[in-house]
Amino acid sequence: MGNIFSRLRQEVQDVVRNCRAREEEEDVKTIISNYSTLERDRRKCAEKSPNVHLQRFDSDTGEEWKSLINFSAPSRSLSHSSPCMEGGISKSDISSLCSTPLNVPVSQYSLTANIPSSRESSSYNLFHDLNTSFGSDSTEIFTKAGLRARYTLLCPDKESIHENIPEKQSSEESGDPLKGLETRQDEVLKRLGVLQSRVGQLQEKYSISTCTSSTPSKSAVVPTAMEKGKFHDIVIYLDPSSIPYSLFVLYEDLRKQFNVLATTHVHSSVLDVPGSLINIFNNGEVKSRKDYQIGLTVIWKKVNNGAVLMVDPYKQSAIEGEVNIARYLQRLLNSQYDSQDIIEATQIDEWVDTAQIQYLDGSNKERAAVLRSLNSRFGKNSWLVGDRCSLADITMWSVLQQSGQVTDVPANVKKWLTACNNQPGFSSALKLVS
Amino acid sequence: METEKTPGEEVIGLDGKPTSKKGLKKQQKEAEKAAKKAEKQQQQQQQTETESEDYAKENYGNYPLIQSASKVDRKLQKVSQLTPELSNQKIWVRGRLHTSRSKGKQCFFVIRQQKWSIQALLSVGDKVSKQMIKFAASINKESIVDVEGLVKTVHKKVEACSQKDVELHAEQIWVVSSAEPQLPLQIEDASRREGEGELATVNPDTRLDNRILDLRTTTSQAIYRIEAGVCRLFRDYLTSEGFVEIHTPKIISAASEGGANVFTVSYFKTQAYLAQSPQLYKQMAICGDFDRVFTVGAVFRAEDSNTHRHLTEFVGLDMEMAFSYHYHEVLDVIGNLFCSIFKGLQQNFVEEIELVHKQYPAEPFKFLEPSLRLDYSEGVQMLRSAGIEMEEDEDLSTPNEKLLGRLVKAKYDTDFFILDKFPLAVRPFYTMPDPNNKKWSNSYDMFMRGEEILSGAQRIHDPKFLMERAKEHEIDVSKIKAYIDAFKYGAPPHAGGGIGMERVLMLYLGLDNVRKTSLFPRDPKRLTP
Repeated sequence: MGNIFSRLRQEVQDVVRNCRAREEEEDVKTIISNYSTLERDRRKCAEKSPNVHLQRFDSDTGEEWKSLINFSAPSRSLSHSSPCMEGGISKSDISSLCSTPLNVPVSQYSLTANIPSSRESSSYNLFHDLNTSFGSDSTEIFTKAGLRARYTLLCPDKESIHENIPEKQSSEESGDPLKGLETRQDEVLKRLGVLQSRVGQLQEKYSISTCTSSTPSKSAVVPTAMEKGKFHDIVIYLDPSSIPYSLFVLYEDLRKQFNVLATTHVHSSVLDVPGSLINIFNNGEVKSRKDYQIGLTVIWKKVNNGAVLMVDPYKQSAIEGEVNIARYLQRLLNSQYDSQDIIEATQIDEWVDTAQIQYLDGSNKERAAVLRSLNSRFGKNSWLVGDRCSLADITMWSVLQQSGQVTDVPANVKKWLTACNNQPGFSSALKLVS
Repeated sequence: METEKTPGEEVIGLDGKPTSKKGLKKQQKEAEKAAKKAEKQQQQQQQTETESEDYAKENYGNYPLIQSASKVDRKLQKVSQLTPELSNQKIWVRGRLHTSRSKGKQCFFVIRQQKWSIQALLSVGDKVSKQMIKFAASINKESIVDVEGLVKTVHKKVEACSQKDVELHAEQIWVVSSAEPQLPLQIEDASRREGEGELATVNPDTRLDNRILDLRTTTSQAIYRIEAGVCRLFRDYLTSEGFVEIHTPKIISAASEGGANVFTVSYFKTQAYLAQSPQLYKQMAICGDFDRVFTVGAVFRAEDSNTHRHLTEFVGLDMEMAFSYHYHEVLDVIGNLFCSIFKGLQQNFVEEIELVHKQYPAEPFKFLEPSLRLDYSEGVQMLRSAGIEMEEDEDLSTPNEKLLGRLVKAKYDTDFFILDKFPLAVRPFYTMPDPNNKKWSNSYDMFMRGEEILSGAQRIHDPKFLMERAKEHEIDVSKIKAYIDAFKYGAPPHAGGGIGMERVLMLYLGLDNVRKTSLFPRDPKRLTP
């Protein structure tokens, strides 16, 4: 449960932060005042109907509350604008949860993702519906907050609830109160289930998309950005003086898996780009941009440190280096890349780093050393990692191609190069470049 | 010389007319003294003059008014052509006296001609007398002078002038047209980079009030040369693509778009309007089978907006084109047009752009070829992921436009891009809706440094459909009858757009105000000069 509470607190903080960022001082004040009224209500409620289970629950998790409050303390000192806010929230947050444990799920339930302000009326309806169906004070606060700020509520992680409960129970001494608590928890979970379906219905009704970011373990086959049926444009800056071959191989793979719109541009910083390169990534726009899944926009440009990748300028700074772009594309192609076999993934990383650092950017001596270790590897194995062609092979093959040393390599390496060249992606990449 | 005599005479004249009785005696005494002194000075001067006049009198002075009395067989060199190759040659040059500074037996001055300038030097010698130096030093700044002299190479580069490797050792100096001694603004101040040090700069209104002086700065010289380049490149590219230049009327009987923001003029016994855009005429030319047309001309907007980018009269560069099957054919032509203009400027105006950036520093303009084209919905997606709340079919506000410009620059590293497929609801009635989804339209905007510079669309060329759309927009169909009728006798599918020349140049150079790129700007508060 603590898990949920902390997440909830985090969300509330997000809301406040969002509000503050927007300088919607008034809104923030309303939220705060809502909290204080809630706090008052809770006290009254506690006085009127003392609940043994609840109290017990309260005291058991007391440590956790404290840590929560303590946790919020440093952030309090950080926030200049309204220092009381953070403390107030965590406190009322806790109190609201304590006083109305059954209503907790309502507030923390992942309702929706972005609710644009102009859709206020419809989203208000949504919250209103929720509110009436569960009749909780806490929802009201969250609805109001949600209306005013871009408010991302996360899906409750049911598993973590299940995991956490036995833990608490085991730490519990035993006896009646425990059973009471257990039934209560079950009740909570049951209501969670009901709520989930209800939210699902509401989502359909108001056609609001869900944010799935809270479930990384169950990551989908395609990145979330594409799941929504939105066009996902990947921008890569390339310098005409160094052409990353690996990109071509991965581009071929990408085209097999996705509906890719490839376009090539020349940046004003370079004037003389060879005609053969100008349209190298260009499959012609035959339909509207919206109908593609992935855009690959290649820009020939003066780039100092190899290729550069840009996907979302708001989230990232430029990602530099051919192998890092290769890593990105590989993860795009296979979302389980990092979780299938982590030993293999790490070995691939090792070779990919070698390709960039010791070979592409390396001295002649380092290059020779790489060739030696490649030669010994290919004495017994046909591929760098495991028994099939991987990202390690793609990048290594690419840097060897770029160095122009493909003819002057040890026998085993030559054997491997030929094997690479016979792979479908590699051969078409070679054709594209030549 | 005359100038030398006057002070002496004045002293006598003034003192010879005593005004108060008390100081009469004293004054008389002083006057006598002064008279003696003056006499002495005169004698001395006459002595020196007789000496100097002998050898320098013919080498300086004021020309009589040039009334084309005679043809003078003399070649005037351009300052720009004065290079070390002409070293030790005697040449004539005409220019403005930019600055002058005399010390003792020497006088340094700078002759400026448009954006070029050269340092000249007068020093007492065989052909130059002290009086001549005095005369040269007393010429008012900005006067036009003819100077003869020897071109000499210099050891140390003259950093203040455009001709850094040579100077002119002057032997003759004649004033062709004198300037008033008091200038409303100093050219040097007007050329200074703003916010640099304590030195004076000129405020924008003073500049515009005295535009002819402001235009003399090298920066202004460069700006309007680049502007001419924009127009030329526009014409050249479109002409090479088979476009025909047309001229459309500026006095029109009915407001072309909607009716708001038009200037009314009296037209004999009735009223007429100044054209807000040549669009209707461009479209009629297309219906008249010109296939591809463009026009360069004044456009009037009676918008009372006092911003950095609005003018009430500006130069519109408009084009319209019939296409075969898809309006992207037109979009590609416009995209390439811009690339060709940007490239042309980058290649042909390196020096001018550098001069402008010296006074108004800005990042060089970056662009992609072919131009980047994004869908409107993609733009909205980018804005949303940057935390902007907006509907997919909501119009872009000016701050959002700017933010989008920055996001696109960060992602694609280009200052120019095309945003395609705008929401139908935010476009005029004659915009062709998207064939698959009525939410969108076949319309586009183009942006430079995050500001909109072109707005265009595929136009509806079917009179019935046009009528239907007009009704949906609750437009009085009878008022736009002439427009709709233009499509009655068969009309090719077509699309186009219009650019504001001043705005394009302002954004290309990264200037902060469109008035800097309009020769004599017209805005709600300015009708003169």
